Amino acid sequence: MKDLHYQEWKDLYTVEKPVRYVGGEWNLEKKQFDQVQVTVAMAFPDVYEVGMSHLGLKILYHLINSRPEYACERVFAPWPDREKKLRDQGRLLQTLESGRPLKDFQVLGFSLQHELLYTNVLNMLELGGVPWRNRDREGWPLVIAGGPGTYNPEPLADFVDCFFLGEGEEAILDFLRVVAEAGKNQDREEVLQEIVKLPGWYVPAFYELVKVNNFFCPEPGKDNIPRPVKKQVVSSLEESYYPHKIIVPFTEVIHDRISLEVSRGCTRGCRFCQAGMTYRPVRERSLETLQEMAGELLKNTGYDEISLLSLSSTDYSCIGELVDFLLSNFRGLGVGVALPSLRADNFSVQMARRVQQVRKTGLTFAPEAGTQRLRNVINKGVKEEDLLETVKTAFAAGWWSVKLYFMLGLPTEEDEDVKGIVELLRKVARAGKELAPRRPQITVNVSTFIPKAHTPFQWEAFIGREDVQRRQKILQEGLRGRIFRLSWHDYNMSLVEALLARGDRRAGKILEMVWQKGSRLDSWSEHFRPEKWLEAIQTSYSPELVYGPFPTEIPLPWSHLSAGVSRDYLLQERDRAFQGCITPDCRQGCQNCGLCGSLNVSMEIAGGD
Amino acid sequence: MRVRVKHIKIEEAVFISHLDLVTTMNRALRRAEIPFRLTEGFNPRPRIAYGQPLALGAASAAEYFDVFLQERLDPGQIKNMLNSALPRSLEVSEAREVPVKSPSLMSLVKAADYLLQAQVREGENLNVDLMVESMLKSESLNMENKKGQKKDLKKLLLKIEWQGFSGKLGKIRIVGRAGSELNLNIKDFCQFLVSFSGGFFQTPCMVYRKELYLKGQHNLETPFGMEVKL
Repeated sequence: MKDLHYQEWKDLYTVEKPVRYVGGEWNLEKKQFDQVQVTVAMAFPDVYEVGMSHLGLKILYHLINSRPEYACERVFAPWPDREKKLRDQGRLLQTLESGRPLKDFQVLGFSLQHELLYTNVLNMLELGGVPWRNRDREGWPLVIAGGPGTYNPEPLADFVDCFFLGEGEEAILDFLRVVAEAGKNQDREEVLQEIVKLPGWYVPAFYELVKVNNFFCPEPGKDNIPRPVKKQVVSSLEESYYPHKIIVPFTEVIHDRISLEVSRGCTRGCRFCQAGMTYRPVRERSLETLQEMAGELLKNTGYDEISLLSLSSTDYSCIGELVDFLLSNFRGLGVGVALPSLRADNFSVQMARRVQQVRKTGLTFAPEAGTQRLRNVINKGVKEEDLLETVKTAFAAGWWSVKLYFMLGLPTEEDEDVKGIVELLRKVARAGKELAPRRPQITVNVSTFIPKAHTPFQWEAFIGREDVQRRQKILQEGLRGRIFRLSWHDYNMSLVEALLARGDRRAGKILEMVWQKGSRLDSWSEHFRPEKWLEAIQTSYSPELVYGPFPTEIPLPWSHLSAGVSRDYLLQERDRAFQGCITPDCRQGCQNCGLCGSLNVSMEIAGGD
Repeated sequence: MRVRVKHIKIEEAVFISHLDLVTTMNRALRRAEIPFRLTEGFNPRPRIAYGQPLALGAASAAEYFDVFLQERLDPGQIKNMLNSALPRSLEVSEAREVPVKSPSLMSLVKAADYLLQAQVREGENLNVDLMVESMLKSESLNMENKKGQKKDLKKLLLKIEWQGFSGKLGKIRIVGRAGSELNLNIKDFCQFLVSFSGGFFQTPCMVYRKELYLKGQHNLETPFGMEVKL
């Protein structure tokens, strides 16, 4: 962007947060298109501040650009004021680096982080000048997608050309090589045929929908089309790519710090958690590598905070040494260390004490359920005494602000369990009043359980509106007073998530319908229009497909995909859930989920085990 | 040691808010490995102090901040180090040492020199020289801004200079009072200009801050001590 001309400047000046659309950031990578073989537009389907907090996007951006033969640029969802301007002026959605419209790229990739972003995917396609239905496309771009949403991709399968399951660091380069080679003839069909041969890729064009019991399920339409498509993992996190220079936004974003990925995968086996099931196996980075990464990243970005990223940070084998290293080397520069949600035990509190010497923030725990019985069902076995012990230690150590996450609608949940949340929190409050240095603040965040694909609870029911309202009332009435700050996820948003998380191709029709009626930015309460969704579900969909439960014998819309964990394991875990049996952490002994054998990988633990 | 840094704010950077600019500079100082002092207290940050915040959307040739260092360095070296860690849209044009004990930069700011560009209404003419003359002759220049505050801009304006048309844009140079005591809000002036011209000039005005002026020994001077005659 050279010297701004008045009109250009005015277009940006008259929208909210123009910095979302201008680029120019430190460590930005901009290439000459005539010097590369494949051009990629990486799209995060939410606004700039959200997308630029996402580590995966940055890793892929720098990885692809590290190769001289490829160019990768970024694009984010426009806010409605910007979208209106683009439409009024007949302009297309463009990337930040070079201002090129999306239709001018050979590959357009979307990160599917959660279902409320899906209308933005359709919107960005259309605004970018790309036919949003895959069957209407001729030639470039190839529209691909990755991220958690690919574990049930069916609602987007009429709009995306190729889904990639799993971790993209190695696969993306293989993919681009194929696109460069096969793409020479500019023949879309030829390119897709080569892509489907690569492991981990689901290409809907080569599958036929077959109605089996409740659902339309994809079946291979010809020979040599994979079933199941298996998720891919990098076998060694230690060896895998990590950028040393990461792009730094000018403006404040949701996570304004270095995310140091200490490990990937989680061994705890919580039965509701899709991330836990799909990011297996656990692979850790070595202490030495993390020390080097931390130093390089701080030097090249200038951030003053490092966050240790993983599904369960305090499980990292060398957490103590890593924290000590970061504090002793960087505290003098005013660099702080942040730990996300903690396991509820004293070790974690001690860790938190060390890191918060630089900057004290609140502590977060996620018990998820209010009674021991229900915690055992979901395999989050933390005992009440341990949780209370932990918060007491935290309060006594000087924290006065804690945050606790719970879910409503878990399988076998009764009103009693929700009363259990109230009792548990009252005990926490009592401890806080006694021990905290000042009046405690207990933030309670209650989300709605969504049964997710490839988890032991994928067949379970999604909670009905009346039950949720009654249980929310129990919480409200039980947790009065200034100590508690109660917030919950909007039920209608959860309903839409459930629709898309477990729906088949027909849910995609609802998605398209609702988008065409003007829905977008559904994760933003100021833009979410529940009436549009509810009407569409009522008139054109079967609500049973949202609510379930489903019999375990029938194929599901994602049965043609595998996250590596065996179906037997999921069924077994489901049984154990209903019996209230805990399944221990697989670091303590293999639980036979089938993953390591199926994907030919194994756990990678730092410092040996 | 205390060093005063002058930098530009152009192109993409005009859309960075002042708060974000401070954060951006903090990060650049870290990247450049400048040995800055940290603030004390709960949330240690690099000890830098800006002169006068600039409204979002305005460009500038003259953004100033003072940074306190833990060790002595050649200011020319500081300039180079910072520029190796900043995008061109925020390039440092100069860095000079100032006495550690001198008053805060913010407290010394007295005026700011702006170039405004505004689009004019199609198919209309206005004798802008005459309009500016009448602005200068008026005893008061009253306006009411968007927040409903009534202001008299007369005593806040030190100079108004019409610079002619450039295509559909009219250019006006103004020097307004700035700082903690009397401060001309440039958006207020733009709004005033639009209404005083009977809508001939249109919002929004594109703003370019050319220089900041500090209280000098006799007159105004630049933050690097050069005397200024308006």
